[in-house]
Amino acid sequence: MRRAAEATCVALTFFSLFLACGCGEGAEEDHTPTLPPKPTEVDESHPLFDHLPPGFPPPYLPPGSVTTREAIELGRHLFYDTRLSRNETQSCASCHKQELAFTDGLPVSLGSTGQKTPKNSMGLANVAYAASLTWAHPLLGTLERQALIPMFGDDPVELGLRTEEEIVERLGAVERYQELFRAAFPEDEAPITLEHVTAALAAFQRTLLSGNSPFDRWIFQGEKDALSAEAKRGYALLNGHPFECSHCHVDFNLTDAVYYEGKPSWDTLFHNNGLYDLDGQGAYPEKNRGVMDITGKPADMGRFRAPSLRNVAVTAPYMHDGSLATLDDVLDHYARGGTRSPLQSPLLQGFELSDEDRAAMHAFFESLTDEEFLKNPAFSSPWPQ
Amino acid sequence: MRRLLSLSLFPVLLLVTACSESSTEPGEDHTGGRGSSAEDEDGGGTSGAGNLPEDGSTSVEIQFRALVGDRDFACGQTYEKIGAQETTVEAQDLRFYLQDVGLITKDGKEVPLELEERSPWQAEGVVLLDFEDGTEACERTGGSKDQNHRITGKLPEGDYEAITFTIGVPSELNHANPISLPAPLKASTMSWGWLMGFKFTKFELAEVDGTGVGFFHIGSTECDGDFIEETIECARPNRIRIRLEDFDWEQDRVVLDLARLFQSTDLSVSSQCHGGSAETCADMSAQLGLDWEKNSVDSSEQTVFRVEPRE
Repeated sequence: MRRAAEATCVALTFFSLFLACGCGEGAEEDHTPTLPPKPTEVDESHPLFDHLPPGFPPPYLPPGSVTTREAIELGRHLFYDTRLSRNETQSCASCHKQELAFTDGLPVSLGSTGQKTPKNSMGLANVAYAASLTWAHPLLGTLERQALIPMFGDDPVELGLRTEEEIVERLGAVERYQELFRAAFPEDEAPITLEHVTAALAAFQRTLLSGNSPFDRWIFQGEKDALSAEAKRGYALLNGHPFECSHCHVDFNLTDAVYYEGKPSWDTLFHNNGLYDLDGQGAYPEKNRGVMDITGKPADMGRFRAPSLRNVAVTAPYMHDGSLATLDDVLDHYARGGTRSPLQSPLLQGFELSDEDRAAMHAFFESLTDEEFLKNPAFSSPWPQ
Repeated sequence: MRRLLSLSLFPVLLLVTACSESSTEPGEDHTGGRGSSAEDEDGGGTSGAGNLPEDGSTSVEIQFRALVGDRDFACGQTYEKIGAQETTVEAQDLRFYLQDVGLITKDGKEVPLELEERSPWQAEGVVLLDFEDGTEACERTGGSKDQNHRITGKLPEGDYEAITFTIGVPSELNHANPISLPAPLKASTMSWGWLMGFKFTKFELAEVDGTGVGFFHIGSTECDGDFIEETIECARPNRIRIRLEDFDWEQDRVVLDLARLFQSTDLSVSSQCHGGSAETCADMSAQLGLDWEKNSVDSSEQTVFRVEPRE
């Protein structure tokens, strides 16, 4: 273990030197970073620690999180089970499909009653490292708590559940669940509870690690030829001037909004990328105003969490509302410097995008596709198809 | 190299654990032992009263009645000429949380009602009042058959002449993870996941043969803070303090009237307050004495609640 930790350390040092990392948007931040409470114990027998991809730091496991293989297996069954929606038409996987890096390919997701949500489904690769959950929520820090939103939310309706009792009764009637819950929570007399449902879902999602793309094999695993020269040039563009992408798409998960064990501060970073300016003052459409929808603060208008670029070639369409259909649309948006909204990040200055640069960026994006992750049977449905 | 880290759990977790220990298991006692009746309604008016606790305090039952205009709110009922456009509407939902219930003595002293722990309606000083049975239009938005029209508790014997209560859930409970809280604070359609709290009110009427609705969902909004420490503060707490004079808990009951709540609202269109904005919430909240612009509450401005004699 010590050797693995040292390797991680070396890799991270190398990585940060390479990127000359600077997320220099302190002026945009008003969520004071604070030291999180430590988990009661980081148990390195956790399956996560068994197969951390090279270059990945140890994930932070919140107090009370469940980390056993049995809980993960239970969570996998629940994740793929339509019993988790009231009308039994949708599971978590309906909007988080493995082959699309756990997105759904739609501009905005549809709930189990057909209601449109305002948001594009976020990928779940490496969600164990997310500093906050969903697109723009400075107060939502754990997967356990996040699960309640799609389960019980009614504006919009997603899974459409109404009471704890209905889901507990429904799962309790299934023999397989009686076994799975008993195995995961053996000390509990009545192990089928909503608390255990959310704990198991979180445990499963934390295992969704994507760290074996060509990019990873090149940067973390010493395979000099894993990346084409064109993809390497795309990576240099990402990190350089005038593209400046790496202010937000940085570090091992290619986003600044990460947290992990030992990180000195828990920064929940959000940025306005100039996608909208409806009134010349930076307005975004109602119900999709980013962090402002939570805090009500005008300065939080249009601020969203930067998603990881991992597997980005398979997660179209893009942005919080899926309004950009292709990666070319995304490149064009940044090349023109956004909408020039008064609220957008000052780092968005626009740039010339030659055909060669565009091709290099595409080559880099493709190099982030982790085929093993998209096909790993440990992440796929355990139910007979 | 096994890293043992601090054992300190943060206080909220401890609080939550304590709460869950005192809770009744879900499904164990939904009707307070009132047989097969789906309604935990009124209870004959005397179930709590009359049993004098030994400590000199009195068991008290505060009864509530919900109206839409001149008739009781009931799923399946329709009501004519409601709202600014005199729309024909049907009952869809009526649930709300109360905290800080108290009676006021003749000399103006407020005496808190010590709430009975009564699962699934009362716990931790919070009451859920519920007037929908999940049938007809109420089936659309997440109700269940059980109802609760009363608050039970005890307070010192005295000469009381007014009642006060706050629509809301106390901050420390509102932002805690509902997964570990006792009913009525469990995850349900009263949860407001994205705002890390509860809807304090779920008042809904729906147009008959149309697409109009009136929704008044309000809870604490404009929140910021630290999700790790769960120190969340909201610039709009939206807790609504109500005070009603000339209230004799043994003779009177509290009435709320949704026709008053929606009197300035057009119910022939989709009028939905989800706690969000002045355009959608100000007219409705004004009827409860909540001035949206000033972000302050004045019970003397409210029109929705009143006192009437028990039947």
